[in-house]
Amino acid sequence: MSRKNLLSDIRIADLTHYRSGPTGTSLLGGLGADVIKIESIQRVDGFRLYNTLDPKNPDFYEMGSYFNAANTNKRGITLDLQTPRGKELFLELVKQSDVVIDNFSARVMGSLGLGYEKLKEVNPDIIVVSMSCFGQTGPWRDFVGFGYVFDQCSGAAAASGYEGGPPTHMMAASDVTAGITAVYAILLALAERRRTGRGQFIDMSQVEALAFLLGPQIIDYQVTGEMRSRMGNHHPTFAPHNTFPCQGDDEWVTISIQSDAQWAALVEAMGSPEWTADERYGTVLARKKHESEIDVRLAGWTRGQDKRNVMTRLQQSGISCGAVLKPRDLLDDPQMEAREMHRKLAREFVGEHRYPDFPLHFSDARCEQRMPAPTLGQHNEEVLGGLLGLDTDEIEKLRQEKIIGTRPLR
Amino acid sequence: MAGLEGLRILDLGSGFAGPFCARLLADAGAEVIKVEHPAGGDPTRREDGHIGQAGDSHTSALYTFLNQGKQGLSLDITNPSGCDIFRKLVARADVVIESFSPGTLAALELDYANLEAIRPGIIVAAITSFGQNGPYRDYQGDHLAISALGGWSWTFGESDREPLQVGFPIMYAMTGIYGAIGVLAALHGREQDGKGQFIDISAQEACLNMQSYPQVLEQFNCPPLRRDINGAMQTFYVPARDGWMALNHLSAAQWENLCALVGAFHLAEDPTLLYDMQKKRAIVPEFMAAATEWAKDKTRIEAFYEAQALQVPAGIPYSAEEVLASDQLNARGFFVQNEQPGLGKFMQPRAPFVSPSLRTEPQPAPDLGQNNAAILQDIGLDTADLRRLRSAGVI
Repeated sequence: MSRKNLLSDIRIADLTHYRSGPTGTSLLGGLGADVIKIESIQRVDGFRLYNTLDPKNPDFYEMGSYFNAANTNKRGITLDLQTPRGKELFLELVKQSDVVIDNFSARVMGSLGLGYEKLKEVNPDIIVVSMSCFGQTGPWRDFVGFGYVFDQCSGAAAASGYEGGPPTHMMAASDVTAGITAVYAILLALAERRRTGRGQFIDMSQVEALAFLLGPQIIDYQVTGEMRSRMGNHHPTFAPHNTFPCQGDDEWVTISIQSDAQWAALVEAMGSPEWTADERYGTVLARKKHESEIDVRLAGWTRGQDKRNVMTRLQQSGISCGAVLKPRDLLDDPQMEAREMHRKLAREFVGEHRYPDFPLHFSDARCEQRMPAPTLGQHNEEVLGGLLGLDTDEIEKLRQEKIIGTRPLR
Repeated sequence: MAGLEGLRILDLGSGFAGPFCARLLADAGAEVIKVEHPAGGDPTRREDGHIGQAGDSHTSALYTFLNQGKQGLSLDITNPSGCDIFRKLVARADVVIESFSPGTLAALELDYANLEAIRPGIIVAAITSFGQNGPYRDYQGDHLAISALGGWSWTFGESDREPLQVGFPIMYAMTGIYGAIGVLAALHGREQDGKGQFIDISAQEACLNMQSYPQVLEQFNCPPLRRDINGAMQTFYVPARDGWMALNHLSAAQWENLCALVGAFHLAEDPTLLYDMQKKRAIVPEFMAAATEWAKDKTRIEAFYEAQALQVPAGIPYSAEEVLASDQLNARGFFVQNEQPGLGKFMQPRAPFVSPSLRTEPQPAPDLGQNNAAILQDIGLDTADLRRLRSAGVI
C-alpha cells in the first residue's frame, strides 16, 4: 500500500526567493502539496546566482548548489508580474490555489497591485502569507533585510559567539527559522479554514520569527535584571561543556557533563588520571568555577584520539558527547544512513546529487525529497496549458512578449 | 475562536522540544494537558537562570515560555493505576506528544499500536534527539552534541578556533516547530480518511536542515568549504559611538549602495567582488577603514537609519534588553504582558506572526498538578479516588 500524501489537496502559489521562503515551500512540497514557484525572466530568484559550479557557463543560473537544494519538490513557471497579462495570469493561478506566499519587502505586493484585498477578490478563502523582514506595519516596515538582519535585530547575533568576542551572525539558520515558521502558520490557517471556511492574511516579520525563539532569554533578563554575555560552547551552570580537539586536521568532539554521576563516568572512561581526584573538581559548582583548567586537561585526553571513538566510548557511559561532523561526514554518518536522510535526485544541467531530507518520519505518509528544483520556466506549458487552460498559440504569444521564458533576460 | 479550538492534546514531553511543540499548538487554541511526574515535574522548572517558586512548584523563565497555556496534571504513568488513568485520557484525546527515550512507552504498553487501539485515529508525535531507530537511538543528546552531529558546528566559528554552537537552543526550538508541523499535517490528512499517524521527529535531523547545505556544496565540486564565521564577507560590524552596528549586503545593488554610503565608491566598480572571495578579502581592510570613519561620530540608530535610507540592509546586534526597547517591535505590539506565579509580571514575545488563528491573551504555565481535580473528575474519578491516588504518590 502506498503511503499517503498529507497535503495532496493543497496548491501553493510561491513567490518567495533566496533561502527563507523557498525552504518552507520545499517542505510543503515534500508533504505532497502542489507548489508552483513563480519567477520571471526579467528577475530570476537571486539564489540562483550563488555557489554556481561555473560562473562563466551560460547556464550558470541553473547550476548553484544552494538554489538546487532549497527548491526541491516544486514546479516552476515564469511570469512577468509587471505586465497586465502577467498579473492576469497570476490571478488565474490564485483562483486555483489555496495559499499565496511571498517574502518581498512589505511594499512590493501592494505596488504590484497584488495585495491581499485584490487576491481575496478573486479567491475569497485564499490564505496569504507575507514574510517581510520587519512586518507589514511599524516605522521600519519598508526597511530591507535578509538573514543577517534577522539575527541582529532579533537578539540572536548578540547571544552567539566566542566568550569575549564580537557578535556573530547565524548564516542560514535564521532563514530556515522563518521559512519553517511560515509552514507552521500556513498549516494553522488551513486548520482554521477547515473549521470556518475562511481564509486569512498572515503578517509575518522574519525578525520576529527569530526573536520569538529568544523568549526564555528575554523573560529571564526581566526576572533577574542580568544580561548573559556570549559564552561560546560553555553552559551557564554545568562544566565541562565544550568542544575538544581530536586526532587529525580540524577534528573535534563535544563533551557535556551535567551531574556528579556523569563526571564520575567520564573520570572512569579516562582511566581515572590523577588530576581528576583534585577536590576543586568535586562538585558541579566547583567544576564550573575551575572550568578553564578542566577544558585544558580534557583537551589533553581527547587530542590523540579519533573523534568517533571518543563519542562511542563516552556514550556507552551515558555521557552526552558528539563528534563534530564535517560536510562529507554527514553523507556517510551511520545514523543518517540508517534513517535515509540523504536522497538522490537527478536534474538537468547538474546531474545526480544527494540532498538532505526532512526531520519528519510518518508511519503512513510521505515527507521526503520527491523531485529536483525546477529549471527556469520548466513547467510553463504544464501549468499555463494544463492548469490555466491556455492553448499553444496563447503560450507562444506569451513567450514572444517575454512574459514567460526559460532564459534570464540579463 | 482560535484555529485549533476543540483539539485535545496530551503532552508527555519534558525538556525543550516536546513541550515547545505542544505550546505552539496551545497558542492556536488546542486544549493541552501537560502530564508531569509527581516528583518534581519537568526538569526545566529548575533549569537555566532564576528559579521561582509558587506553592510546591518551581518555575523558570524557560519552563514558563515552553509551557504556557496548558493545563497541569501530575501523574505517574509507570504506576499501574496511573497508567490506567492515562489510557482513559487517551480515549478522548486527538494527539499525544512525547519525548521519552525510544522504547520507554512501549515498555508501559503505551506505544503507538496500543494508543491506536484505545483511540483509533490518534496522532502520536515522538520527539527525541536522534529518532526512534538507528545506531544513535539510545545516545544522550544535548544542544551542543546535536549541533555537532547535525553538521552545524563545523561550519560555525573561526577557522583557527574551535567550532561553535548557537548561543541559545535554537536546534531544539526548531525541532519543536517541526513537531507542530508534523501534527498539523497529520490532522489535515486525517480529515480525508480518519487515519492517524505516528510521527518520529529527530533533533539531529532538524539541525541538518538548518544550514547552507555544506554537504550538497561539496558534491557540486565547489571550492572546499572552510569554517569562517564571516566567510562570505556579507556583514561588517562597525563601531558606532555607542556600540556595534552592522552593515550587510546580499545583492550587487546593495554592495554598490553600501560602498557609496561609506564613501568608498571605487570599491563598487568591480562586480566580481561579489563572488570572488579572494579578491574581496583583499579589499576588506580598505572597506573597514572607510566604514569605521563613516560610523565613528554617529549613534548606532543614526547609522542604521542613514544606511536603510540608501536601501542598505543594515542591522543593530541587539541584546535582550535592547530588543525589548526596539521601536519597530513595540510599534507592532510584539511584546505582551504575562504573569507567572513565582516569577511575577514580565513582557514576552507574542506569537511569531499576526494571524486570527492564534489566541491573543497570554497565559501562565501550570503549576505542578494544578488542574488534577478538574481533569480527573472529568473522566469519572471522585474526591475519594483523588485522595487515594495522592497518598499513593500517583498524582
